[in-house]
Amino acid sequence: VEIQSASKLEGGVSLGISNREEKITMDVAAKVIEIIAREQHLELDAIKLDSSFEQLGIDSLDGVNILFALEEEFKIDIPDSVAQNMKGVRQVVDSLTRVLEGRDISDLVAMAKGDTQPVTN
Amino acid sequence: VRRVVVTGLGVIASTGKDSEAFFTNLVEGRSGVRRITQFDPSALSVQIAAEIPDYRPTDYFPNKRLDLLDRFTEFGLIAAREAMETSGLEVREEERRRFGVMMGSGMGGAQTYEVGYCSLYAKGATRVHPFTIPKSMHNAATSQICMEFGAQGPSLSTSTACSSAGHAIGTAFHHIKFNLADVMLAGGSESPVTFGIMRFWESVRVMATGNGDASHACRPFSADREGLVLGEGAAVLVLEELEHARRRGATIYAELAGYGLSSDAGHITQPTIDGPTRAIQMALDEASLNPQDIEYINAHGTGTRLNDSTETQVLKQAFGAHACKLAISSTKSMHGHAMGATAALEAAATVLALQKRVIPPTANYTDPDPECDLDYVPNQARELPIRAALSNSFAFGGLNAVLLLRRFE
Repeated sequence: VEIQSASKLEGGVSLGISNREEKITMDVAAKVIEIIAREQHLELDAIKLDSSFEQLGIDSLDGVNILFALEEEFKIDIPDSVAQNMKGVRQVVDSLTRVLEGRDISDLVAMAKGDTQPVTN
Repeated sequence: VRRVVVTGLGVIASTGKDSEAFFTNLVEGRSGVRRITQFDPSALSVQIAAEIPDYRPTDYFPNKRLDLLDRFTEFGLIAAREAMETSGLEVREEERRRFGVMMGSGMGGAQTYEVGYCSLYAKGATRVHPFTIPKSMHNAATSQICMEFGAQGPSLSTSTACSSAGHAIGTAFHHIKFNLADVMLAGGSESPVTFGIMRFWESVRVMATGNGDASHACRPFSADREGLVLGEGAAVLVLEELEHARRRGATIYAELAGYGLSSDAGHITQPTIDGPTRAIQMALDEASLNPQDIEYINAHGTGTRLNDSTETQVLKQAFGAHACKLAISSTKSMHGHAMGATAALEAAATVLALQKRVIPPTANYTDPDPECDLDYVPNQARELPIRAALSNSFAFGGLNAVLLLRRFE
């Protein structure tokens, strides 16, 4: 699957962070959209940064499945307290960015660009 | 008294991917037992099973739907679809609460469990896929069928090993008879051909290896029988209250007239004679028939030493001198022992035997066994306009289910 480049994303991401970090967040967003598309069997361009889960037909069980995929791909644990606020694509990207805080960002960039193998079972 | 008739039938099994193909192959004595293809069985001492050949889930379901389906649920849905189609039934909105689903399964989503355990224990994963529970739960097949057809009435799943589907069909029958529902989809589904489950069964030492000749591995009632062969698949019957069926001009395959069930309370694996005999008696009593009225028995007939000789004694006990006049066959010789689905496959075979007036044989019968000295319809189907038949299921754990089906006249 070709990762959609960040520049194609609508809405942009403004988290009040530096350009370098913003670029990284856009890469995260691209990866999140790719994961949602894969797990929901949707086309990449059907998913926008401003899409809510409801608009995408993602129910609570689908949401849990997406969380699992994100945890596997980013090698992180998403606590329930963070997970319960994820109701749309932008919230996922924002929350994920916070969860990823303090981690070596170059890893993440590489992963978001698909340069590393995701963890699979 | 409310009468219950069979108005639709669906099957997917090693011997056929629909009910017509299934029954045609049984009548022609074709076995569905082959070398296992779902995984490499080389490490196993038993490398054969009655698998559904060339099964591709995507022929039946979109990918999004498949994410939530274990193989046993897929089979249940496929059989339910054919059952609904053959019945011509269209359930109206106001009828949904009188329309239920009851499916048996011995192992449930065993394949999904196995994948989960493998990732946890063998691969060291710290979490498993979140669909593991909704895919693997025993009621997944029942629930997915309810959802697909909008069945909102009495619904449940049964798990009584080899009798699971017999108990599901019998319980569904009573729900209609006792006016708790008008239409029920009832049957069983199973997908037990995994590396783990094959190993578990191997260790019980009741499995036939086939010695390189898979299609002749299962030889029920034959002196040289060497054990059972695991099978997979599903069968679903549409059970309908007679007047409900008549009002819509439904095709009636047969009448389900009696159901007997009992517990051996004896041994966890060895069958008794008394327990199954009482289940047969109970089914006869419910249908108000005498033993002499029964012409065909679709036997439990697993092909193990102990089952087949004990079942022979059971039939002698239940039918007395009439036992010698019974036509008895084990269709497991061809579709294998599909565990929680097997009673449904056999009920379907019995319904079709009544409707088409031909009894499928016990395949692979070679030598008579002095301990099995009744008429097992060896190797050749028999054209016989039977009017009443039993389908026997005697499970590990001593829980027995007997269905009495008769031609509808």
